[in-house]
Amino acid sequence: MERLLKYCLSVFMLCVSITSCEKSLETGRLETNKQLSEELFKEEFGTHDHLKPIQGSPASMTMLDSILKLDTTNAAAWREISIPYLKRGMPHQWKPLINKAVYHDAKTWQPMRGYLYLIFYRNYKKAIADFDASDTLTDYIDHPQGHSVDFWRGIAYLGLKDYKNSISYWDKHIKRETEESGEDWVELEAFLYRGIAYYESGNFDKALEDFDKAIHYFKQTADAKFYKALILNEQGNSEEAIRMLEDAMVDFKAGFFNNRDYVEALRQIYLEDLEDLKKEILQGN
Amino acid sequence: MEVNELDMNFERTTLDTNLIDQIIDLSVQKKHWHIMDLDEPRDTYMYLIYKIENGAITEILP
Repeated sequence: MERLLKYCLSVFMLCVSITSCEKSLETGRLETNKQLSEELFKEEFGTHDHLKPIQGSPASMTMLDSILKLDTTNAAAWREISIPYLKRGMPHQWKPLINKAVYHDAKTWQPMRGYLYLIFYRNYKKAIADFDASDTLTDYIDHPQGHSVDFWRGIAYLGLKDYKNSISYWDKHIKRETEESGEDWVELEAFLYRGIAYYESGNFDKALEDFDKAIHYFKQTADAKFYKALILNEQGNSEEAIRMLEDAMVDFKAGFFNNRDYVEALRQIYLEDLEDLKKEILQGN
Repeated sequence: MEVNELDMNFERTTLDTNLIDQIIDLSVQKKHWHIMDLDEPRDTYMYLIYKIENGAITEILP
């Protein structure tokens, strides 16, 4: 009986040992797969190499499928696999994929999702919600796609025609950039968009200050000159407005106007806008 | 041509058929396009997103 008990205990111990072995093998396998997934992603998508599969191509998407099969928590891979749908105007297919990236790494991808909502789909409210979330997710100011979340909120609130909030975020952004690096380091878009927010809300004096700063620091800017011409004309200074417009046309033709890859920039101007304003001013004289 | 009818949360929804027909008609008219001057025919892809709020088009993307 005693021997039987010993055997029983041994079997029990053996079972426990096999179970824990299986668990550690499983953990080891998961860790290996996670590492493999990260390494593969870094190797295939970590650099912009023209020899690598083109974004959205079958080869690229199949590779991402394999990377995600190895580790379904690879947030960067979820973000990457979402982008071809984003750029091809398929928001219903992009959203569930980018949401997985945010789910697995909100600190990195939630502010970036806000940027994508804003720029690609002009979904201002969802963009602002993501930028606001980043305020509590991290103890630093996030810079998705190279600009602060305050910069992006300035644009998003302008899209909503909420001029008060737009100007407030531009003020915050420009003040910080100026204190940290000097006013000459502030982006052209910051002065331009704050100026547009002032212009559209009827504050021409403050708008002019911003357009003048943009012209002062950047010299060639069709947008700032176009808006300045609008104000000059409304103030009855049509001759100066025409001169400003002609200067704006030179800048525009040389490529110095606010625009983006893939999508039209918010309040983007076209040569026709400059020509139409010139005609309108000349006809008014 | 593929048409996706979505709400503001990018979920599928059903929109008024007449509205969609009007938008398609507006979108495909040749006079609204700058035709690319290519040496030989090529397959191309283009998308348009119409944002409609309270029955009016508020933005056309991209």
